[in-house]
Amino acid sequence: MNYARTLAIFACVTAVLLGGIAPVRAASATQAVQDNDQTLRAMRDEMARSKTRLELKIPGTQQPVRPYYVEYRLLDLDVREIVAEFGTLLTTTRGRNRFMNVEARVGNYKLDSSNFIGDEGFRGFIGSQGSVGIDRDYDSLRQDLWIATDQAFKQAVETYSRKQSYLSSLARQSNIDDFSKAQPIQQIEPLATPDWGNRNWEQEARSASATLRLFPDIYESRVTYYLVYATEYLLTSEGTEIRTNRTYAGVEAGLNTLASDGMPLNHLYASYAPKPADLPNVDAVRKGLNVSASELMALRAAKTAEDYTGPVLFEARAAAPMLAQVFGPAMNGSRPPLAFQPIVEQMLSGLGGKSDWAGRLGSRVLPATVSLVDDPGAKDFHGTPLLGGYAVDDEGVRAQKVTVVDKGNLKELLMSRRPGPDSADSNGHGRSGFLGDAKPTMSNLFFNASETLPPAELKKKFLDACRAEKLDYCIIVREMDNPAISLLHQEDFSELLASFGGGAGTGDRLPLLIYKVYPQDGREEIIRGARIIGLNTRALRNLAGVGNDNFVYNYMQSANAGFAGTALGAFASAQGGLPASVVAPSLLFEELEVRGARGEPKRLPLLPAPPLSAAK
Amino acid sequence: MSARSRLLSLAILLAVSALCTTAALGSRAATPKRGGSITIARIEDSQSFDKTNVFQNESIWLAEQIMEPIYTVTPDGKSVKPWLATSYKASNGGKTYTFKLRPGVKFSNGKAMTSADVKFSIDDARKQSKGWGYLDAAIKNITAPNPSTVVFNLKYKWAPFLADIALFANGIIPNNFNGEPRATFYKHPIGTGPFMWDKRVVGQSVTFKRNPFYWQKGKPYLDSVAWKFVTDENTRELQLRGGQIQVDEFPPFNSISKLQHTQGVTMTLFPSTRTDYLDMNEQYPPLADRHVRRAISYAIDRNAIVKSVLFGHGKPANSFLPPQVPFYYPNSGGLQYDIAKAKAEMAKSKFPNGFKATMLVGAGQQVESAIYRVVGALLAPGQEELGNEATQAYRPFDVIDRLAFPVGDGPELLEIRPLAIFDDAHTLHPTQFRNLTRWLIKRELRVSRWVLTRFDILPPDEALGALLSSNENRNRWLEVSVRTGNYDLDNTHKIGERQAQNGGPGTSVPIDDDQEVLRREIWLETDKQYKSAAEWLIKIKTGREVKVETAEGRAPDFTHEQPHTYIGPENSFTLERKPWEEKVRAYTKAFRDSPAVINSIVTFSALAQNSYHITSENTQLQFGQIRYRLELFIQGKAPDGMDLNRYYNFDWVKPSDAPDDKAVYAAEATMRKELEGLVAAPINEPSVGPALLTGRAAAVFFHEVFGHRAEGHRQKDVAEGQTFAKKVGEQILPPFLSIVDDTTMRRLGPTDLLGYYEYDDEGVRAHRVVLVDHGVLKDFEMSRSPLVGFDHSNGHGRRQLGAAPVSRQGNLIVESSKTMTDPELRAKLIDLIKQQGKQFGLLIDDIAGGFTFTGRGQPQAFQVLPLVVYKVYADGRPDELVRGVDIVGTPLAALTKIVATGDKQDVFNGYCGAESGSVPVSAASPAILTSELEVQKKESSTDRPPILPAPAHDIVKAGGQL
Repeated sequence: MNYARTLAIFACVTAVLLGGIAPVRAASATQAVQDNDQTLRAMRDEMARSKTRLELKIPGTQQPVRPYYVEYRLLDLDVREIVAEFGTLLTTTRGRNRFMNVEARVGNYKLDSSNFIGDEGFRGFIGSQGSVGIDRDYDSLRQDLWIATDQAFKQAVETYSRKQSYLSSLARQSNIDDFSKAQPIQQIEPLATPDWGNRNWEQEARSASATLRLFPDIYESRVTYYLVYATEYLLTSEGTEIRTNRTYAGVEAGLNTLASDGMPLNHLYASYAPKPADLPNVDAVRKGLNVSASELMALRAAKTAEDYTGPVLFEARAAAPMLAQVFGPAMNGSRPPLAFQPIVEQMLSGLGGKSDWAGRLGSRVLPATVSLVDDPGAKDFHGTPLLGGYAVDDEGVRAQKVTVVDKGNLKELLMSRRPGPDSADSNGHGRSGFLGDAKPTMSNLFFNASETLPPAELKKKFLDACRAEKLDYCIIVREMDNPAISLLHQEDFSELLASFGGGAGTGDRLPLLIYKVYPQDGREEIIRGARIIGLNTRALRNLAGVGNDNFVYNYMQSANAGFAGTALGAFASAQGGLPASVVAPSLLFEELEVRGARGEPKRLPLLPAPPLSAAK
Repeated sequence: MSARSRLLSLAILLAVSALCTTAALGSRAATPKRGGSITIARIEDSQSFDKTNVFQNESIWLAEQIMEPIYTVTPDGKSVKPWLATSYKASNGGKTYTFKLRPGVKFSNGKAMTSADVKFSIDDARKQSKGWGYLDAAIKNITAPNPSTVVFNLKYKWAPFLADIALFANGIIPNNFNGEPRATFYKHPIGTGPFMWDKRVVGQSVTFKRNPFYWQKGKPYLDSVAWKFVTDENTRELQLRGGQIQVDEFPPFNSISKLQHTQGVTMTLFPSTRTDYLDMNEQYPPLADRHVRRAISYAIDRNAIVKSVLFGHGKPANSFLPPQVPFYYPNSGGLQYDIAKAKAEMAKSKFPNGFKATMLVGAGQQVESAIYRVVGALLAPGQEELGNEATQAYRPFDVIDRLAFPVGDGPELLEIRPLAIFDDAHTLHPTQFRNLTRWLIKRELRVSRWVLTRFDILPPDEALGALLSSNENRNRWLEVSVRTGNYDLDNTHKIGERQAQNGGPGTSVPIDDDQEVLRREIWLETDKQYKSAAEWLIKIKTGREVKVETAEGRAPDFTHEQPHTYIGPENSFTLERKPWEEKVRAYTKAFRDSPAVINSIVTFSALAQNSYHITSENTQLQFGQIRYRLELFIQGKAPDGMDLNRYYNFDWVKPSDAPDDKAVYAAEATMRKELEGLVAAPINEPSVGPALLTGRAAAVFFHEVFGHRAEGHRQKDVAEGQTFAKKVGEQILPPFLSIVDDTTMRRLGPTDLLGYYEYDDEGVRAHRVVLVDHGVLKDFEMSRSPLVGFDHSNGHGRRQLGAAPVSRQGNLIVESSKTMTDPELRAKLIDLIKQQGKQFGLLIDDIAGGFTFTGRGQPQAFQVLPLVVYKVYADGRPDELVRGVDIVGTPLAALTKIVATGDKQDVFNGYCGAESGSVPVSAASPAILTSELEVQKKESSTDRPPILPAPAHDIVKAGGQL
């Protein structure tokens, strides 16, 4: 069993299949199109009934209870997944699925049935979320929406009463609203048919993965092509009606081996595109895989890392993913949910559900030279496409450019429609994976600095600092790991969990390529088994230098919608991620702690590997 | 003294004192020679080198190599001798001690030690309120009148003063921490000891090197010593033998005698002060009773524990004090094992009839914490909130066969297995499974204990749920099973509740035939499984020595079977998707005519499976199956909220045997009618009385009540109820009934049997097994796990992909020689009702499935879940459909109450879930009439029916206002 994926399923809770996806086009066709879409018709009709006629009479009360907000979301999916290793096909799957999610809220915008993790029991097998027919026919969808709405509404009524009774036991109640109002949007894009590109994906997966046969010391590898077409629907009782087509594609590979002392080592390759046709061709993928595999072989021969404290230089390629990990949870400005049991609240903060920055608006959080901007509208960075953009978020709010940090001061946090201590209104950052709860999530994040150095000067500054500290060597980080992709049959969850921390917890960061640099002669030496610790938002305040070499990091960010919309981790794979981009330069830290290799390595296989011929 | 014992408090009663702590040395000692290094492996890493604060032996023992006290303890632990001081003088009535310091003592940095260093060191140790400072409480002040003299003024006369000053915490360090902050100093402490700080890799190793300034000239002999942290005892042993380490600080007790006889290894035992004891809570009334405590002490067989746990390396304790400490009194005797006296004490106590108490054992907490570690970052609730897995009954939908998780840091897996077998697929449609999964996931947030279970209940291979989704999959799965040891005792041997887990469920392998890549996957998987097997065998051999084994458990672990070769044709199918999609669409639509149906799911699936099986015993097989399945499922709700459903399935092998539309619509019409009837039906009250089960219902009844208990491995396992283990040759059923399990049968009448196969999952040929012959128990369904007297498999070793095979049912066929026609049976039922003076009996027409507890931790009960039940009245009133009925009972009683059977067999095809996963099975039986059947109320949802009418049955067609 692929433990990494298994655990990912655990974490995702329901976010198994797909994240919010880059828009095909940001169309503004607001008129109702005449394409006889039965899905839309069924959703509208059932919504009309739910809005006007759904009510529950509670014994002993005068007024019947009604939902003040009903939301229908539907995801129409066509997914292809092709997995290959060493030139052979492992699996090939094509699936057509449709899923719906119904949300009903009882109460009012100020205090409603949401934001509460209660202790309510199981409510039968027909839930408010589930598969619906792929025929796109009217009758069956209405039937499903009917039952789902009924369940969602009853559940909301029950949760609301439990929440009220819990709140009455508290000495002081939060004055933050439960839900912000938003301007209804109508945006119906024309229906699109999937375009898989006229490429033979199975053959491409075979021939791309065959290049790894040149590296018989790789124990296992998986090269995955993941292609998605989706139509997303969002209807709310407030009047929002959205139909968008979204698509993306990715090639991802995980490779693993053991060092001669038994230390497990892994590496990865990932490339994403807005459309299947834009994916790199076989030669490009082979080239990328060759680089990753060669680096993995270098790691295999590397010395093990030792504990280190001193200057650390993150080259841009590593700085961007590192910032994604550190800032992701910090920029979330929404309130965490109330929990019936205090233990759940503890879990939330342990898993990154609580932001370091929430409640600190106006205060200095980064060096005065640094600004942080999240711009869902950005399409590219000096010609390099950015993956994280969208026009309307998953709650139907128009995307806005947000200056999170201006000259070191915290200006504004990313907001969904769940208000927070600093702001009540959404700024169009409510994103969700696979119909999960929307949470404030970055899109295209830009790390800007007013004082920068060319890379060569930054490196010189770094080596000077190293000499000044009279250290034998200092540390350069060239690439960060993404365990959601790179880990294959790892039985130890710890690496993956470290990446889950998201930042709020330990600040553990997993580098993939990390080097010792000797200041006397500039000699570099790759090392393995290192982990950077304590790298959280506070550590970023003592940046000693910033490069002028911006790197565009396109990736899949964790869309885990577990725990009522809180962050679980930074990274995901194409299977369960939200496309995002971070643009960042090289960063020099005055002092960071690097922890050396730990634990008892495993024994190597008892028999030598069977032969693997390079030709294929 | 063990640092740990200071932390424990109160109410300590009795103990086994281990005489020896142990150490194994890698090579034989000779005259010491200068030079060289050694590596010592130990079970824990050091926590800290701050000797004044640390309570962990693994830290203290190392700190002592660097920091020495002025007086030290003699090797026998009973006295003190001069060390960094050469002498002392007591004066002022024992309240002043004046020490002369040893000349020429230097710290490892070359600086001479003076009285200022001593004063500073002990003053610092004294201040440590959370450390060992309390031991220096008698000291009023310390002065250093000259560099070689230190004077201690005490607050009062204090006899243990010299012993206290000899404690490691009072070791000498340079004045003012050598100019460093306190915390920094203790990260690489400096002292006068034989060794000095070299380096430390937290979590891995600590290395000290020779102190060139050491005051004992010529010592130490070694250049350096490294302490390596290796948790796993087997790894330590392997490293010792391989020369990677020279000393294993704490080999397990069971390896002592082996190591004593291992070439090149010196096994040293030395007197230890270790004492194991029970810590009792006297707040709990029974334990507050002196007689109870005495009874417990009398009831403990210390000699047996010394023998089986310590392997003879210890002796029974007679008091809390071990023999090594001063004033130990060897003749106290203590309360030693004497059952008669224990009984007498209990009789004298306030609890002569006994009481219940919970004992907390270290491992239990480890288990819980292991779960939370795996789950990651979840905070463990208190022990009391967790409940007790072993005694908590699982409810019907808790389809969990085991939980396994690591214990401690080692590779060992601990397994918790609920003792319920739940026949999942009879009851649950794949969609229900999905919903159930989601539910469990939600539940995990509150009850984290569930986290690891979900993978067990993922739906069985869903090939094609047309319309709802349309998926096509091709994949191949590799499983490698490795056994080490021999046929009598191998790594699968079960010790008590514990059994080895295989090293994982296998792996996905390419669907393209590429020999090299396949070999690579097989190589890695074999290596993994072999390592896991080898590791388990060691544990099993160890475990066997400390656990009592039953006679059944002494059967060998693996049967010898004839190897054979069979290469069958490869199975594949070509399927026209479109017609089936159309059919499924039409079938679903037909259900929607009924307003009682609030959800309907029709699933068509096709599965072609090819198995390739090769063993080191020279068996080579290629075989497989094709299966088609059409499932109909509808759900409704009664006005009181009770969930109701109807389910029907068609299974076939040849495409031409597919049910035609007429058959399907007929089945649908029946289901719809029944569901409508059930929605309106009254709830049946619990009752006992005669009952008639139609063929399919009877088949499930036998599957649950008898079939599971005739599975071979259940006769062997100490955790199992073993209802029939000793009943071979005895009458267990009325003499007119016989039961066979015949997996060679493809069909019974017109029906394909789902339990048919050519070879089982252990590569053994399918067999016809006569289980019961005219009421007499003859045989069991056997896998390759033999029983005493049943030393061959009869081809029933089965499993779902990824699980280890155990004996399972295949085609369970009930035959009867006392048959009646349906009208005769009904007449007989009415007779019985009248005879028993009841108003009515029950006619049970369809059963969804059931579950049964076969384990000892549960009552030997079964529960069968009927879907369609009628009350049959003796006075001739028409039959009345009722709902909310579950059949309950116990197996031995239920089976003997059968009085007659019908004259034709009906088949139930389904999937049966148990510890080796979900496997296809059939059960066939004629209708049975039983003189007594107990029914109870079904568990029910209390959700109200939907508020709005179904859209298709709403008078307002387009939504909106009425």
